[in-house]
Amino acid sequence: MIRLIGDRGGHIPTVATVLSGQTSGTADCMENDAKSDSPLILSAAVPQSSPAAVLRLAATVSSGVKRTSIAAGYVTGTVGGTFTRRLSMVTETIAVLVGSLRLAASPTSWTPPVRAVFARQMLFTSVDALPSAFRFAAAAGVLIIVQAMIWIDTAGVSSEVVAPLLWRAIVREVAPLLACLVVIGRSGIAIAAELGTLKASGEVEVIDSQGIDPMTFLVMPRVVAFMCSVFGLGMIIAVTMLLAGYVVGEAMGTIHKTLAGFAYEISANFDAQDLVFFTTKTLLAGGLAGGICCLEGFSARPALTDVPRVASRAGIRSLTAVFVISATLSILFYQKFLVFQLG
Amino acid sequence: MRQSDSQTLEMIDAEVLRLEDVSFFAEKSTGIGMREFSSVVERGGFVHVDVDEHQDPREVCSALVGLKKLVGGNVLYGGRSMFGTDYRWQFRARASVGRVFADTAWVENLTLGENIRLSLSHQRCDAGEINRRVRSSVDTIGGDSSDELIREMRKRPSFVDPSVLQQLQFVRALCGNPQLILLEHPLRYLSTDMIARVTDAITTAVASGAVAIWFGKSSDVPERIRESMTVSWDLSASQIVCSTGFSR
Repeated sequence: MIRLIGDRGGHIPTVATVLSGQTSGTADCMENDAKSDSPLILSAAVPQSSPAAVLRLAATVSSGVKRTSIAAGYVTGTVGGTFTRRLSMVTETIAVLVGSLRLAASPTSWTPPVRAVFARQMLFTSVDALPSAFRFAAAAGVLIIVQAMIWIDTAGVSSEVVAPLLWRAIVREVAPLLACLVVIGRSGIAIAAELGTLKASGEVEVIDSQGIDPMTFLVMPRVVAFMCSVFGLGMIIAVTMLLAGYVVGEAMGTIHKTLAGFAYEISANFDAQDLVFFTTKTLLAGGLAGGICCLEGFSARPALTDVPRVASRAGIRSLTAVFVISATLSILFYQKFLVFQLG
Repeated sequence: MRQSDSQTLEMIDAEVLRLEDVSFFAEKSTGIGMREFSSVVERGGFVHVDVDEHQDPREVCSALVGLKKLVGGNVLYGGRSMFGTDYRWQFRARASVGRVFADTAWVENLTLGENIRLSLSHQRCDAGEINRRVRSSVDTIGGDSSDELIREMRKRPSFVDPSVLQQLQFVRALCGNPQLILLEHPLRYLSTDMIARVTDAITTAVASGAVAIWFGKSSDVPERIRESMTVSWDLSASQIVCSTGFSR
């Protein structure tokens, strides 16, 4: 005999059987039922043979389907949520960059306080960063050029073969990347911490209350200073790398040319594409890194304890963005991904 | 896109501030809200909001100048909404508001002088004119100790005594010839002679057409200020609910 105990309509129907004069099968069945929060419970005085087994199987399958669908929903939700958040972050960063450029293009934005912020940021981001830029560039230049010269001797190829490779590696890839690393490491994290502190302590509200747009006063000059700094430092780093590489290479006896000959050989590879590539990469990567650092700073909660968190997050996110932009631009420029030709 | 302001706001004719069924909830537990509150304040109006020392009017003041979202209603300043999409006008409107903050009031990485000149300089006021206005405000607020105030303006806020900071807040609030003055617990840290000078400065500003809104304990309000007050916004359970006075 089958007795209907309860029905919570709209749910997946799950059944359980209870055998009269029960054996171990009943306990399993009831446990399954409890776990699955069964909406429909059937009590059946049926033998332990086929109908009970079928019902038990149905209960198990139904419960499994329900759990799988919940898990799938959770996974989909998590993936979708993460994707939406990332997409929102990218669009916000692009919006900050575009907004900053639009403001920078308007002469009315460049009021004396904004010019002062820009000048101070240029000092911190460019001028004060020169010593560390020289150090990094010299070390990287020595590594790259000495390695190249050693391989010239080993492989028996002439320096004319390797020179274009060196030039392009330095100007198009390494120098912009190093400039970004220097600027983010020295100033990006500091900017995020500074803006985070301004936000957390209520100083942004003080600025806004006086009729000063925080976007014009706090964000735009920093983003523009970032772009200019990465561009300028990138050029300085490229030249320093070449010079340091030459000096050490000559001292080690791996470079057998005069400085003028070396400079001529390297610079003979210069073409307009290099300038386009270098400019695009430094300005875009610098702008995005600056935008991310500003955004992260403004995302601080109104507590000073939140500032270190946003500062470290700004550093990681801007570095990630710089590497992604660098790789993406290289692919777009060369229309190649690894060994695959695009288009 | 928000643009920087490049000129000052024109003088508002009669009705400076109009609140239409404004509902606002403060995030802080000590903050002050508004519940379906309506009021009109005309030129020369002086509003008093009787709040205890522990109550923080910062958020409601920010809401009045369009920096905090309202739950309902609208705030009109000079007949235009502070919550519209004309951001350029809103920045100009805020630049014409003088404000004495209850807590954080300064940008810490600027000197006090740079802080005071910031808004005027951002509006592209002539440097000579800025110096003249600041000097005039310092003389009014500082009295005999105005030279000391000038010296203190070269320092950063963290290195200056709270009473000097509070006087310099008045200098900043008044040097821009404001049409609306928001005063959040304005007499904190001030000595008796300082209070007398501040009182003179505020009554003079109100007499010349500015609107002042004073958030503070009624027992602390100086007699001269009390005589000038025309409207009172009354609180119930930390929310401004009605006004008494001519604008009711």
